[in-house]
Amino acid sequence: MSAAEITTAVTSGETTALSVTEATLARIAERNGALNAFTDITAERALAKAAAVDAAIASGEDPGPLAGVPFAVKNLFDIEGVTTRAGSRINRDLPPASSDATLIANLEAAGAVLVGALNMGEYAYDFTGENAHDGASVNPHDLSRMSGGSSGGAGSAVAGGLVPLALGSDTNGSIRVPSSFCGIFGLKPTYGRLSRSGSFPFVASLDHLGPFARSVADLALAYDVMQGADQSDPAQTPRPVERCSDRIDAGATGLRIARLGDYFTKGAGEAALSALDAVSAALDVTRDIALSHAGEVRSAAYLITMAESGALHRETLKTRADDYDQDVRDRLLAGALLPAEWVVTAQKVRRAFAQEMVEVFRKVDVLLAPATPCTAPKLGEKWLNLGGDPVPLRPNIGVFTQPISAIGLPVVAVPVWPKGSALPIGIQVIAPPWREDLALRVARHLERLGTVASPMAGGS
Amino acid sequence: MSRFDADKLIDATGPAVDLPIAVGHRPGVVVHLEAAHEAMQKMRGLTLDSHAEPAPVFRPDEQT
Repeated sequence: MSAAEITTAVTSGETTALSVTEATLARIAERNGALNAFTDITAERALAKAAAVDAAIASGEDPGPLAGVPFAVKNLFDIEGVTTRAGSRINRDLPPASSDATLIANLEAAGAVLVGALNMGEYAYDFTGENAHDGASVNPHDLSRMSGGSSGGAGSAVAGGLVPLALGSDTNGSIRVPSSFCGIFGLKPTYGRLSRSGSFPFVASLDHLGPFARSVADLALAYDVMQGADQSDPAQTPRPVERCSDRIDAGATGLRIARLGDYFTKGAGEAALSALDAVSAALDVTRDIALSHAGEVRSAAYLITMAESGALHRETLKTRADDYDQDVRDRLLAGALLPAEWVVTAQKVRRAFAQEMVEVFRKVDVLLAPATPCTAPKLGEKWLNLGGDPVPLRPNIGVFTQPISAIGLPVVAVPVWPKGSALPIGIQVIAPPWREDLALRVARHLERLGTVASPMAGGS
Repeated sequence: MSRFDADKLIDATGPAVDLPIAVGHRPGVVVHLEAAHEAMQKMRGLTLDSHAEPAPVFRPDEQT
């Protein structure tokens, strides 16, 4: 069942939050061994919360728009009483979190039920879903393949039907890559929209949090209740709450939609191009736009990521270097040594590109681009064919996502199943800053047309 | 332009900022510094005037 269906059933008395939670915990117990999506299961807390939701309904109170909906969070979110491991070995020595992350509190205030924490790439520096300490979360559509990272457990858990809703983070593509590989919907909101308070940081300049689901309505439902000012997040931009759920069915008529060409198609493989064609055809899109500096802004994101994460981990690198995943460690060490001029220039390039995009969005409302250059690679794969050139896989999976998050634009990743492909691949539906509603509206339109879909792996 | 030498950067900067790179970590750090340098070279192609502002506090809807 979708989150919306669960809420309706729980609120109407057709079922109870407790029954839904017990069934969810049973499915996690049954399937998590194969998927390795969860690292922590908060069963006791979940059952108590579900009982509270049922009690609220019994006493005539409004249980909230997500009443009884089970959800899970990437393990960089603080969960009261659970150590926030952020995919690492090192953070396991920290004391348990003393309170919940703001977004968890917001979802639970709306009646949702937290059932656990999800596997992720170490410190979010990853696009594969592999983890040197916890093992890889795997792709539910093909257990020999990657879930995508760094929010790999979220992709795996939602596509595998363990939960209808999950939260992840996206610094350079970590919501959109698992969405693409696992065939689910993911929303990376505008930079500064949702509070990051109570989440373990990676790159302050680029970190975003957002939801995953198997339907656009569920994505919008979760996004709506997570909005709101939070004084404890200094990076949040003051904005009014702009709910989307009641606007996603407006269709795509009247919207000016174009495809990002050049940089965003050069390295794309057959499945990515086929998916882009399918979405473009469904929306009657024929116009291509080339962004002149996409490659440069990706370079900027790359350097900012190295420098800020290197600075964040500097002290731990001095004392516990061998407790990191080797590849993450070496990138962090290199980042801590970068010349300041490189990083300042990167921040200038980023701003210049954001201004270029403001001009582009005077002419179009929505842009389309592949989320990943390929479908989910085999676990352990180290190389990627990018436009005919073999390149290291791990940093290059995000070649199409990185320029977009670098300037904070809102994106919905939508899952396409190209003809002849047994695996899904995502398309980014990109909107102007603060117009998550447009991206969700186009995604919903594509879902209604049947061009995009997120079937549960292995059936219901 | 002289060739970028990641080893020189490691030897000079590591001890200076109290982050010496262990022998076993050096090959990986070199690879990542070379990738960073390549990224920097890509950005060098852009002309940024003296008034170009960086974006450490970023507003995605900011206009020129």
